[in-house]
Amino acid sequence: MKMGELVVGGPRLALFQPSKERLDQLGAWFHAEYPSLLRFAYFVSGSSHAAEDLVQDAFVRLYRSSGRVDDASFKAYARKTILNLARSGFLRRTREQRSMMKERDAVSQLADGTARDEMWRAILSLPARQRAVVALRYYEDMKEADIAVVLGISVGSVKKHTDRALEALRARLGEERRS
Amino acid sequence: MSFESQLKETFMKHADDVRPDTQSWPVIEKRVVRRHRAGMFATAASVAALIAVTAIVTPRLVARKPSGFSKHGKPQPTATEPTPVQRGPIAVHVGADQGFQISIPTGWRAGWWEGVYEYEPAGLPSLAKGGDTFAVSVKLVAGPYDRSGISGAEDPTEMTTINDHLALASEYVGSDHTHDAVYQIQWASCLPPSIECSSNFQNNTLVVIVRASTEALWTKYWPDAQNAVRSIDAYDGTHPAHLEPPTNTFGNSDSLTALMTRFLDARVERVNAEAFMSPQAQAAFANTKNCLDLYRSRMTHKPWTSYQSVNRIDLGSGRAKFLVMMMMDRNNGGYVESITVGPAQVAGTMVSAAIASADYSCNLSSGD
Repeated sequence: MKMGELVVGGPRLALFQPSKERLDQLGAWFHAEYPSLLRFAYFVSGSSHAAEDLVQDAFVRLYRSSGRVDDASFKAYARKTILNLARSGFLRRTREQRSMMKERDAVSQLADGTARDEMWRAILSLPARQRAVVALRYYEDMKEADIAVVLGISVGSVKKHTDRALEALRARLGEERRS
Repeated sequence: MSFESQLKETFMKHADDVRPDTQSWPVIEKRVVRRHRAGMFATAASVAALIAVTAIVTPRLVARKPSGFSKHGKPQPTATEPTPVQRGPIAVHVGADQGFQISIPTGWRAGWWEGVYEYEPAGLPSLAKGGDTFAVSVKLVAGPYDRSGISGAEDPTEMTTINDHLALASEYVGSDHTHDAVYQIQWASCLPPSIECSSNFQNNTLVVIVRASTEALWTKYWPDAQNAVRSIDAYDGTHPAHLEPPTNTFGNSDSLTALMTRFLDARVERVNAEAFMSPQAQAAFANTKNCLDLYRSRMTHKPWTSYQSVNRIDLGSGRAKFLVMMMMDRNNGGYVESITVGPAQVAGTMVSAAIASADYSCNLSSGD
């Protein structure tokens, strides 16, 4: 601050300004991980609009937790936050707010043929945690131990969720093919 | 193609269903700023609310009205918890003998006799005189505060605190409609500064009695009295109540007692007792040939720590002679003085009540 410089409420209002350092760090994480997090959110939620909201909400929460999160733990923390948000009331709220957009999603999916994708429909029928496990395992090629860290569960639980997810998918695909 | 390969291919295929929006970051940044500010405002509001709640609740917890009980089937008084508002200017009175300070409404009379401090609204008679009145009296008695029946309150009903002093509060409605609220306060204070306290002094009780002769007087003055009780605390020397010399507004004999009390308090506090004295009285105290000394014993060089009244003789013409005993130690005797209070010159101004003259006795008298 220069001598004679007029400062209006700067120091007192500083408390109400977010930390620039933390915002910059959050921005760096965003630009590095946004696409993969958006896809993960999409796989978990099954909706592109909900995925965008999930990621934004996760970053807002990350800001508050960024003092406890570093570069090494960011990826796991962000995915865990997205999954937790998806499993909480977040999706219900999003579904209500975006019911019209969902209809538009469905129309666009029908248009490009994705709605006819049996496997995709089967994946979307899985519970969120099972969907997250298979997405991490088969899309992000994570090992079971890494999935356990991301989701904050044991390796045994990862195996159990994976087995149940695959079993459910097979059953669902079998039903569709029979019908 | 294996099932797992098919699964992987499906994910790869649908990964492009979502397209990263380059405008997402500014949106997130705005949301972060908004959320941060909302959180800070919420925190500030919570802190402010907490402070406000504390400010409201704490005084009520610290000095709750006694829950009260009724004897002889008499109804409970209608007086309820007073609104904790300032009802007017207050004056800090120091009970030097007993080491307390109390804030009383200005205009109330402060009296002292035989170790009992008494405060009454202007125009009401003292308890000793009788008649319908309202008074707050304060007295130090020996023994623990939770001793039952210490003040005639046979059923101490409520544990409370008054400025961190433990206290028992009780209430009594007599068959003659008199109304008493009694506080037995744990009193372990000593007079500052550098006064030696005996172990007995640490375990005494300050008994405060709020008494109204009638229900109407109780209703009228109870809020003031409760504020006064709430204000009772150990005298810490920060409120010397006697720095100002008396004005010439004293018009009755009670003002003589009040002035005497102030004078003796000031001597024990060692603060500005000269302001109450005529030149003749000052000369008497300054005379090294007698045993009078304003703030300490000339014989032992120990400061006065307390005093007791012995007698009062009304001389007429607005004058009274007080026999008082100045004490260095509560457990031992003191030096008897004869002090005349009446009209006198103080600092060049004639006032109706001042320490006009003083006699002395160098004999050590019994304390009790």
